[in-house]
Amino acid sequence: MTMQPLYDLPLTVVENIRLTSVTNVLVLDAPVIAPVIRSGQFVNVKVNGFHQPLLRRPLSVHRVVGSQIEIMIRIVGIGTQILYDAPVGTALQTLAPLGNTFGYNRDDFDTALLVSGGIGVAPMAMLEETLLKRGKKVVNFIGARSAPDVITRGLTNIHAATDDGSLGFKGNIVRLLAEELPQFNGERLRVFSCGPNRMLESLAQFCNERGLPCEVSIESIMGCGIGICYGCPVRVRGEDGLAHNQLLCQYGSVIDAKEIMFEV
Amino acid sequence: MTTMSISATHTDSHTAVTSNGQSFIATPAAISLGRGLDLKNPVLLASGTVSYGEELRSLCDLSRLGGIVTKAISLEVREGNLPQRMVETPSGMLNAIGLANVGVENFIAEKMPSLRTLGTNVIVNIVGKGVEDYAEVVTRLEDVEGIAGYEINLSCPNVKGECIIFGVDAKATSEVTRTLRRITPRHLMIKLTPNVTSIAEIALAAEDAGADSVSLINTLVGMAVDYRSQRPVLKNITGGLSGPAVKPVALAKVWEVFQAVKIPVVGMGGITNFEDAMEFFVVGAKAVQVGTQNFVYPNISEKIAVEVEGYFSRENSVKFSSFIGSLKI
Ligand SMILES: Cc1cc2nc3c(=O)[nH]c(=O)nc-3n(C[C@H](O)[C@H](O)[C@H](O)COP(=O)(O)OP(=O)(O)OC[C@H]3O[C@@H](n4cnc5c(N)ncnc54)[C@H](O)[C@@H]3O)c2cc1C
Ligand SMILES: Cc1cc2nc3c(=O)[nH]c(=O)nc-3n(C[C@H](O)[C@H](O)[C@H](O)COP(=O)(O)O)c2cc1C
Ligand code: FES
Repeated sequence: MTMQPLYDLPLTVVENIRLTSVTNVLVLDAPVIAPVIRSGQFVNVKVNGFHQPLLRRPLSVHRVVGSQIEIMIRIVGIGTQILYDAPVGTALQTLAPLGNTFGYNRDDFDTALLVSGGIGVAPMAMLEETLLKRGKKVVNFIGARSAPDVITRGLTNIHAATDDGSLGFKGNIVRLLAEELPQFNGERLRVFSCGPNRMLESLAQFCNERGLPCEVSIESIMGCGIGICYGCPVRVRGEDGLAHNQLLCQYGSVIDAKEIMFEV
Repeated sequence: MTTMSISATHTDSHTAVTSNGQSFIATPAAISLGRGLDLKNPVLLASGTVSYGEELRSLCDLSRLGGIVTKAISLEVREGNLPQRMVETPSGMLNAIGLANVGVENFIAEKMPSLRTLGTNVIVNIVGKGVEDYAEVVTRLEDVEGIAGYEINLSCPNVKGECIIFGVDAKATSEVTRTLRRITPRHLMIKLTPNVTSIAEIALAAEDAGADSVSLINTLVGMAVDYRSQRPVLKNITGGLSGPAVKPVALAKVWEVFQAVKIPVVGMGGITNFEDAMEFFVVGAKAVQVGTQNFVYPNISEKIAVEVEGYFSRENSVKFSSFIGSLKI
């Protein structure tokens, strides 16, 4: 659990950048949050001032640029649609910083493999920047359905895979990783990942079988983001080897691949 | 029921010491619910929506509130239901948390120390599988300091008895209340479920058995379905509906119970702001609890408390005590 102070502030949209017909980036003026939020953490946003939709929406921090933070949104329902359409000047009530961070400060790796699927690329830009500053080598593996869905904003050194083969490798991202892994022989590796749970599950299994250190940023329904609703449990292997509920907003959202259990 | 000398101090705030030894700020909206449960204002945090207060502390000044009702405490540690256990619905949400909690022993050791420092009344919400469970939890808490009262959650199945929900049965409600009344001199608030034919009948059973107050409503049974997968959205299949969507139901139930009983009624269900809270006072609530809205705006209860106090401190405005149940028909 993060011991950082929490803030609940109205953040003004200063720019709405449409990347695709379903994905955008909101640039938010956040002089209080920008200096304190860390790679892997998320914010919880009230998309409007009404009872519909009622609850806030959890979103990763995409990048921090000066006193601004950026969030990247993919439309899946009413809340993300409102955020995609948000006009410049809108104030979004935002709770931050929430959750733990990626393990970017560890000194047991030199090469970071950033594996993302779909909107899972959102937190990777900040992670890449953070890792490069620490002198790490960064390689991106990005999976998507089709070429137009491959989003690379803020990322370099990219290996892409698409389901339909319209860009890069044809097939899923874990198979691409399997094919390319030998070229990193002898390097001290660590995998950082974010994407749909199904992708994370097969990636976690792949890494665990090979003893490849891996951490995954997980999604779950969240009622509050701060540990008061108990609505966000994920299954985590405890010291007794058995599965236990852990509140994702407190325990994660970044969890070690050896601990997370996907089957319910 | 004990009535504090609050009416005398309606217009000017001052500190007094109550029967349970806590200092008590008599604000213009101060109210006593009886048996030492004296509130500096009538705004409480609802059970299950604020954990044990720790997480909210940095975002909301809990000492400004009348009290906090803790997450339900049971005899044993409960992990709760498997995910998915929450889903948003139109202007509301369904939950099937499964009464996940740390258990009474961990609660005393790990949660009470910080609860004692909140500067507000601590009401412990209690859940059990049988009458004996309730009795054992209350007995265990009796010599624990810093507890102003108990809220008894009867919206759970009596697995040791006939396996029906305690709160839907007047006899079971009466039995639990009577048993606990014998054990504790502390304030006993019985929490009522709206999933019954006559909520007034259950409220009367609680009153007759020695309850100091009743609180309502607990969540309404509801369901969300995904037609594509033909599956229920919640692992538990059904869940409890809360939030703005339930407010009209809650107002009707509070009004019904207010007319039936003499003990104080604590109202809740979909309160999101000052206006909502005031509506509950008009239909007879002596205090209110704020639940789901804490998830949306963590400091909302403080805001409501300040506005309620402000309203009743204004010159020429009505007295809080005469505003309660003032519905004109
Ligand atoms: C820690 C975390 C970080 C996230 N980061 C991003 C991000 O950077 N960019 C992005 O586009 N999305 C992100 N998501 C997913 C995003 O929160 C959901 O897509 C969004 O809540 C959907 O809301 P909606 O109203 O559009 O969809 P609806 O389907 O209408 O939402 C209904 C309810 O389900 C919840 N919900 C639906 N899908 C998800 C989901 N995949 N994960 C969690 N809750 C969901 C909603 O919050 C809401 O309570 C993140 C989720 C988590 C938990
Ligand atoms: C996630 C969640 C958990 C809850 N847990 C409890 C509980 O443990 N004990 C209890 O008596 N009521 C519990 N409730 C019910 C609330 O205390 C309250 O009665 C109900 O939600 C209606 O108020 P609201 O609309 O303001 O939320 C819970 C409600 C929610 C939303
Ligand atoms: S989102 Fe509410 S406890 Fe985690």
